[in-house]
Amino acid sequence: MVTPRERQPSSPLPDDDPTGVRALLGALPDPGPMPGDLVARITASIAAEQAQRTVVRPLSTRRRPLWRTVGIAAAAAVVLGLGGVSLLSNTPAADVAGVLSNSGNDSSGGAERDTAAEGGPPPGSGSRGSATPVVSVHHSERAYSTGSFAGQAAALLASPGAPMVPGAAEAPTVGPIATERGVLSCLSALTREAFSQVTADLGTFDGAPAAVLVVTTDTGHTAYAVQRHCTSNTPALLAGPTPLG
Amino acid sequence: MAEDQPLQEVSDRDLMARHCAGDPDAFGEIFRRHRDRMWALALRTTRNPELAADCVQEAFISAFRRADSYRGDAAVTTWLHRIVVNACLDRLRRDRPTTTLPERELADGRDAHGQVETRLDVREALGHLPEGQRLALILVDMHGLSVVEAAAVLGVAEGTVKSRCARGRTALAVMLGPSVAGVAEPSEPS
Repeated sequence: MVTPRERQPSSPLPDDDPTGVRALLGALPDPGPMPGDLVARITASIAAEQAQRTVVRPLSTRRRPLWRTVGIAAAAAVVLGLGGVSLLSNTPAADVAGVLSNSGNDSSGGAERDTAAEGGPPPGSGSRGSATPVVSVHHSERAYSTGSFAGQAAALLASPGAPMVPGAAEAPTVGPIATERGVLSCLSALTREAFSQVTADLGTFDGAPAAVLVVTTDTGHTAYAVQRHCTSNTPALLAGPTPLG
Repeated sequence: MAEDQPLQEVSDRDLMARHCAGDPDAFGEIFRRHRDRMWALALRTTRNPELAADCVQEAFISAFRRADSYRGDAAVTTWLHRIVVNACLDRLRRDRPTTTLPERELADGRDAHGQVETRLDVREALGHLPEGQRLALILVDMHGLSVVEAAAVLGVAEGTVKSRCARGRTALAVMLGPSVAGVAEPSEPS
């Protein structure tokens, strides 16, 4: 809360402001504390950021025992010796790197991939240390509206229809909200509650392009309507949270 | 810094250091301490509650991610002020063609009868100032930052802040006129 003391002019000399406007501005009341829903929203975003956060230790601080270095080199030699050249040409580079780096059961690497494998929660997930929520994305182009939102969201949950075709998110009118990661990113800005499942549907809300997200928690279902550019940084909430009966 | 010290007793600078070192709770304390002030700043800068909410959220997330850019030479609040102001200005400039000023921007508390209109006039008049002058007055006169701090927030010289404040106050005094009690008329050039 901004207190009056914090608004004291730095130079209280009477001739510093002959207009008297400074005193007038300083006397204006504060807008009040940050609204509770905004506090919750930002708190959830910070929590989501923290969940994604990994600490990458500088190379100079990494300590890899000599035997692990030898082991990795030996594994590489084995792969190559067994005709690994032909294998490598057909194997994605990331997979090869993963085999080589993990061959010594090395847990000292600071790579983001290894850290994530150690059990950090998935990005944007609302769950706390549990499995990734099941996300299904649909594209019904249903016309959702403010007055009928709860009923329409419940109908979506009951009968979501066929899932979206993979790759459809690349369409400019669709975007990342049509992907699992995009849905979870958006939800990280909306709720801190743990959920096990998300049913997402692309349609319109009061006539404008939108996405409807229905999350399933231990206590029930909650629906949100968001603009399609919703992310962890930009909630773009249109309606909700609306509990569903 | 004592690891068992309650977070509420840890200084802003130490909280930032802890956050950069991986403490999962340190930034939350930074947010708790300064959220009201940054909300007020965003609201006064954008004069639009919805825009202010988006901007202050963007600002805190940006601060979370860029915490290692905080060098410690200025106060953490000064650093946060800068991030919030920049977030607001970026958004205002992006939305400029469609952004309209609200007729009434803030809900005033109960005030003495007759003074409510004055406060609305002051805020309305502030909205008519050039951006640079308005921001200087918001930071210095409404948020109590020193000229040095305001210059750091705005990324301009101290002299620039002083002149913007002086010109802004003069312009406000002219706009508000002699009807506001206690506001001295600026001296007319002879």
